[in-house]
Amino acid sequence: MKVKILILFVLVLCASSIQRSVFAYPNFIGYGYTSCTVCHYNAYGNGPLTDYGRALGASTISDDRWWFGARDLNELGQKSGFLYSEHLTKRFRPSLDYRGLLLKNNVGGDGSEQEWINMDANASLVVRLGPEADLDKLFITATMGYAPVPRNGSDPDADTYRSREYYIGYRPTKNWGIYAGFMDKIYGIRIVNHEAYSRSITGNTMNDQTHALLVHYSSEKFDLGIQPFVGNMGEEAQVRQKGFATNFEYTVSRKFRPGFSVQMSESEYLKNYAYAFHARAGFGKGNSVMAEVGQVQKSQIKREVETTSRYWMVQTHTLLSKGFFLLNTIEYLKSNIEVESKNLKWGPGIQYFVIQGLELRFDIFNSRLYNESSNSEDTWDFTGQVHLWF
Amino acid sequence: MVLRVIAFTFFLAWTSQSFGMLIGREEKLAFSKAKQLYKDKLYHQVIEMLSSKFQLHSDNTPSGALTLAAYSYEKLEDYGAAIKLYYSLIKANYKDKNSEILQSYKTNGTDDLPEAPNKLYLYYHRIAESMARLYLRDYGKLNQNEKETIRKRVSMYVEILGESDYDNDSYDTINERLEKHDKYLVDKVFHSSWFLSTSYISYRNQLSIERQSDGLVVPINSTVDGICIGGGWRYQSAFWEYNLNGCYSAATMNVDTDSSITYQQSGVASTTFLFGPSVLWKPKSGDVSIGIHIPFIYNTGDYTVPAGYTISDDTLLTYGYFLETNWKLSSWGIFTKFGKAAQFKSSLWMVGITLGL
Repeated sequence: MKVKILILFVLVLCASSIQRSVFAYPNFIGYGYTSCTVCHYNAYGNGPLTDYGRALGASTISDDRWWFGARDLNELGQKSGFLYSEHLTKRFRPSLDYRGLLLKNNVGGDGSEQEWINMDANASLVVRLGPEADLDKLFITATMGYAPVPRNGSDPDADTYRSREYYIGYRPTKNWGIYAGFMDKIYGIRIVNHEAYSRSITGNTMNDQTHALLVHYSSEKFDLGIQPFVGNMGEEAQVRQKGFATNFEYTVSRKFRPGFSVQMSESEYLKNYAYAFHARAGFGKGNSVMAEVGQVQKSQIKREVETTSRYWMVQTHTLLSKGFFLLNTIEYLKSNIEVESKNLKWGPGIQYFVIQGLELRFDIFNSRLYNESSNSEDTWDFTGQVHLWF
Repeated sequence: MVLRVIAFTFFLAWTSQSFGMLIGREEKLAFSKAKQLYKDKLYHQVIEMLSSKFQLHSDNTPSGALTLAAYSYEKLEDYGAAIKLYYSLIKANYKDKNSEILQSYKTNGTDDLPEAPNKLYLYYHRIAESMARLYLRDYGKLNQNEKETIRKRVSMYVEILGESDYDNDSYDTINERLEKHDKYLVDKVFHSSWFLSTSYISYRNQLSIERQSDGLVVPINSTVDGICIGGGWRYQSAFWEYNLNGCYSAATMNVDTDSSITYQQSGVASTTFLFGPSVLWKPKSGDVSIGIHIPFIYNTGDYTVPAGYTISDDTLLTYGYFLETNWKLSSWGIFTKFGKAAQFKSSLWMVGITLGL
């Protein structure tokens, strides 16, 4: 009875408008972590971290040279709980998360602008309802916070407080997980940059979460997820994308995982069909290369117009010292495969986990447009990002 | 470290009691002074003080004096002298037990090793530690036979300690240090090899068209992408790589102007050849490297020149500077290059794979 009341309470809390922060780092295959469930409650990454994920972040991923006094890695792991504390209770796992971005677009060009964007500021709570021996067997997680109005003008009246994640998770065995609620679709590689072509063209950007059921099987050999979804119930019924997504990854070796994903959905106006092949590979300790190639068909049902887009993405992480990565993101997009034009983007950057709870990131994006009939200048954008999580 | 301090304190307390019973007043005084000198880190003086009152090369010398001298020799990095003293201590106090353990090890390895007093394990530990330090410091001076003997002895003592209930587990790191040292010796050796490469390349030419009638010059825009095929020769250790590499690209491009001279052409053949050195650092002495590539670049385009116009810089020999990163998996590798080619517009990118031969 108590459990039911708790579930009801959390769902009511979340039903208004919530959102989730994206801090899935699939490149951590470079450390030998093939599956997201080790560190995240969400089977496909992002959202609240498990105790193990927090301890790993503090002891292995983040730089540890800035702590005052001598702190060994075990101590850092133990004090990786909420606000650098040891976990005060067994049943509750609160967390806070913030991402801010300094954007300077079209650097050196006409109309260059600079602005600070508070991309995300949220609070999360995980309630662990499992038995003493396995508290995470059954849990509820919810995230709520500030999110800016989307820049594309699709919904200027959009609420600035929303949730990007709330669901119930049940893991009956070590291998199986069932999740029901509001979550991201399980398509492709969830790289952090929500502006990436692989996320934007496939309908998986920052506000594209859906109410869904996710069944996930995870083993040393492979991960398989099947996710029927009914769209975001907070949206008008006619624009809700209903369908399913699936994602499969096979373990060729401890540090090499190829896979594929499919996503099919439909609303009254638009039909989407996307599929992709991807691979994640770790090199040495902490280094990785990830690649995804995919195609998306979008059919505007009432206008009977169909467009097929094709994309690929390569992202590399080079670990220069503990917590400090050099990144390269190379993206390709052919918005319509029947037209010669295509977009390319090269994004060198650095990412630094200064200490547990503080990540800095600087990126340059050099965008290039190829067009059959004309040439346009390259554009250069700069972003500086601060990510805090407690 | 803490365990060593505790062990040493225990040793001092124990030896002080023993000395009271076994030696005269002068020796006792000398030993007390030597202990104080050891605490003050005056290790040369410890040896001098002990040598003045004790025969350090005699098995009959009290264990306390020999042990203190051995510890001091270790601090002075005279590992040979320290080892000799530890052997003297074993011979004087645990001769039979030591023979029993070594015989058992020789016959059955670490199976069913006899138990020994903690003190004997301490001497084994100190001998293994001293031998390891001697090996690491004098590696270049030792002959092959000496190296093998030391490695075997160290390995034996560590294995014996591993099977015992000896409570100071710092001996665990001894073999690791030796293995790390041996790996370093292998890793630092350079070797050379050839490789093939194929990559996707993207760049923008910077040329101009001039109207001869009035001398008006306007820039021509171009955007090129294609495949670049080539290879190279690399000379690398586990820490650094130096290579010479190049590739040839035949691509097509679209060119146009966006000013008062109208010029537009599609499918223009563009030929590019890049060749030059790379210097790459391997931050984790592994399969990933990062560095710079500075190639010479030859580029030409098959532009159609309208009557009354000339096109400049349609053939270039220039240079570039790029940030290069490589990831190697067995004989295969992935690389990226991002940078600037002089006299080219904007940036030049390459992403591709290599195959070692």
